[in-house]
Amino acid sequence: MSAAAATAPLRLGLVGSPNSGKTTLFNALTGLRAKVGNYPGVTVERREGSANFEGRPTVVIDLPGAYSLTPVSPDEEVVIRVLDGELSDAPEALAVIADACTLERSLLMLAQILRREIPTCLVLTMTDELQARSGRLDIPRLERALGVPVLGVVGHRGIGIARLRRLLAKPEDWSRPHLMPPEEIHARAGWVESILDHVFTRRPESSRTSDAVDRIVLHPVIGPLLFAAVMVAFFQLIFAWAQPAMDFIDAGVSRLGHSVHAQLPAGLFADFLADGLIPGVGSVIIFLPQIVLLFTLLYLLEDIGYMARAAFVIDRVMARVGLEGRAFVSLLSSYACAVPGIMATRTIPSPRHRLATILVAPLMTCSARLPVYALLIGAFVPAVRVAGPLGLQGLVLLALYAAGSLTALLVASVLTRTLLREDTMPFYMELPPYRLPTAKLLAAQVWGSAWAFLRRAGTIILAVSIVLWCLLTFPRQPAPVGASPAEASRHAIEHSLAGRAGHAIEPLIEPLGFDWKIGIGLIASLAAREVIVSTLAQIYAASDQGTSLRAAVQNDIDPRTGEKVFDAPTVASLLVFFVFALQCMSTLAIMRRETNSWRWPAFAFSYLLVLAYGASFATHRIVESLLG
Amino acid sequence: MALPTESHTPAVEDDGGVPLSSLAPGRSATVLGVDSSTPEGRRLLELGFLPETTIRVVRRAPLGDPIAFYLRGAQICLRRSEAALIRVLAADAGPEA
Repeated sequence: MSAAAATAPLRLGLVGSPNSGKTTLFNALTGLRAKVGNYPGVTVERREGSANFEGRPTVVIDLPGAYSLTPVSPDEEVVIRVLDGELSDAPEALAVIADACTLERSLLMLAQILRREIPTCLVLTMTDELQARSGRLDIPRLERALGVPVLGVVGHRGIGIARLRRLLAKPEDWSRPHLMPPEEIHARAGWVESILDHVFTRRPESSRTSDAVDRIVLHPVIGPLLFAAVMVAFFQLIFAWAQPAMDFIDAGVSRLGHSVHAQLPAGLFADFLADGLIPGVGSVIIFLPQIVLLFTLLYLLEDIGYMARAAFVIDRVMARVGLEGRAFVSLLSSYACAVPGIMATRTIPSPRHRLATILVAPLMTCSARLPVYALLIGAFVPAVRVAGPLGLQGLVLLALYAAGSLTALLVASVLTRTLLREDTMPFYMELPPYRLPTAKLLAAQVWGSAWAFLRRAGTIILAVSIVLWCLLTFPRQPAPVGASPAEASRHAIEHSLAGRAGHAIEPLIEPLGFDWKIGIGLIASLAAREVIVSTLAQIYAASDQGTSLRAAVQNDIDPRTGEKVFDAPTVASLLVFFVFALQCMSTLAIMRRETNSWRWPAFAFSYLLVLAYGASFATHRIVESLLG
Repeated sequence: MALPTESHTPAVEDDGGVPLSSLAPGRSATVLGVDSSTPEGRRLLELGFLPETTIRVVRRAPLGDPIAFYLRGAQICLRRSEAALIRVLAADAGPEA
């Protein structure tokens, strides 16, 4: 080895199929020092970590999961391009990670890798499981048959990791295959079969424990019931457990803002700090409780092995609208918030299914719409009983949820039949054996997701919220003499850039029944939907966002017509607008991150705006004519 | 495009083969061939649905689709339409769904 190679860190690639235990090994080898990013031009996640094997600095590259080097999925294409050195410096050595129980399948890919003539070793994971399933494998024989080093490990218990580190320190000493495996698929299968015959004294049986659990979990009657129970619990936990934390963050942010106003002399800097920067940071970290909770539950179910079963149960339903089973969890999570929901689409291997799921996720009624619905329904829908315990207010809320969800399914089915039709991925999903989750892996996975959100979407959200604050603040106008603080605040917002924009778009939104005040609210709600409530409170110079604001909107009279601004057609139209419109920069930011381009967020924003406008216009007209 | 695998997908009357999708849960079968004229078919080959592979139908999803199979040490589910691309020889006589 040259002197340069001895100082530059060795680049070691980990290759393996999904569920092979590759991520567990990656974490065991690198600790939590993974750098997560995207490969240029593709949405596949890039993970690298630094490690030190016997004093030798090494960069460990966790290549995306692949079943084969004949590229079909975007993940597999990335694996090949990395091996070719197209996306980053090519790895100088490869460790192929294979589940000992599914060695048959892994050898098909190993044959392709050996043909590339890079120093390669084979790491067999889950050797304990192989024993439990009465499989008997002769590892030294396998080593001789393949001609490359083979090592058995139990990743989650750390067994064999020290030996693996010693092996990985010296790839130049690894033996090479004496004979090149064949390339053609049938010949390759023959090669695999002859090796398997030679090395297995007993092939593993299917896992008895898993089979027994599956007989209950996938039972024709119990299966769907259990699925429903798990999903309801999942949804409830996200709502019930995240809400207190979110309220706590919310209260903390506003307390901090108040104390800045109290401590600092009044002026632009205090305003920026208290009303721009602090709420901006707050609007980023407010997502963390949901993201951490959602991903803890998601990865827990995934690591146990239930996620694939859930997708198996519900796939038939999702297939009707052109999606697949794994999209269900994403869409369900989007009822809490589209941001973690969209992040959860990463488990969907088909790019077409994934994109369709991302594009319809914002239609699921997220929790940020609730304050808007609460204000409008509370102020304008009479609290009367309709039938038994069912109240009219509750029914309207239910209708809004249903409208969003049904539209999501409808749009998904249109998208997958038109724009997103091309795809060569069959639905292929492994039902892995049930496994006990490990806290370490779970923590690493959850931390990875939260950090990715903060770094990649958080920065965009913060920047946009500061820009919006500027639009709502500048140019600054001196308040009229003798104005109360509420009136001064109203005056400031009305003469700001956003206020002028609200006036400017009035002709555009008039057909929907909206005036300039709602216009300003809509512009401000681009930051987050619920911001329209606080903005309206500011415009109406209301002393609070509850009863006082409700009374103000109920009694607001249009000076030109002498009629109420919020009449029935306008309220209905505004509610419908919020069902459809994508007024959420955080969702746009996370879409940008997950699709790696502004194209898809721009598309989603536009189609949902057109949908919202059309539906609001129609609603306004229909309600108007119904009321005569 | 030349199809090197054509010899593995002979006509129905020759080999007694049936589509994998037609087997009831519990049945075992040996793969005769996969229709590799489509990308899906070629993909199924790469995923291990190769001639002479032994496959067991484990179960159908509660709504009838997809179907779970056991092969090569792993449990894999495919949709019925994909399983229909795989021609198999049933291991024993029995009812077909």
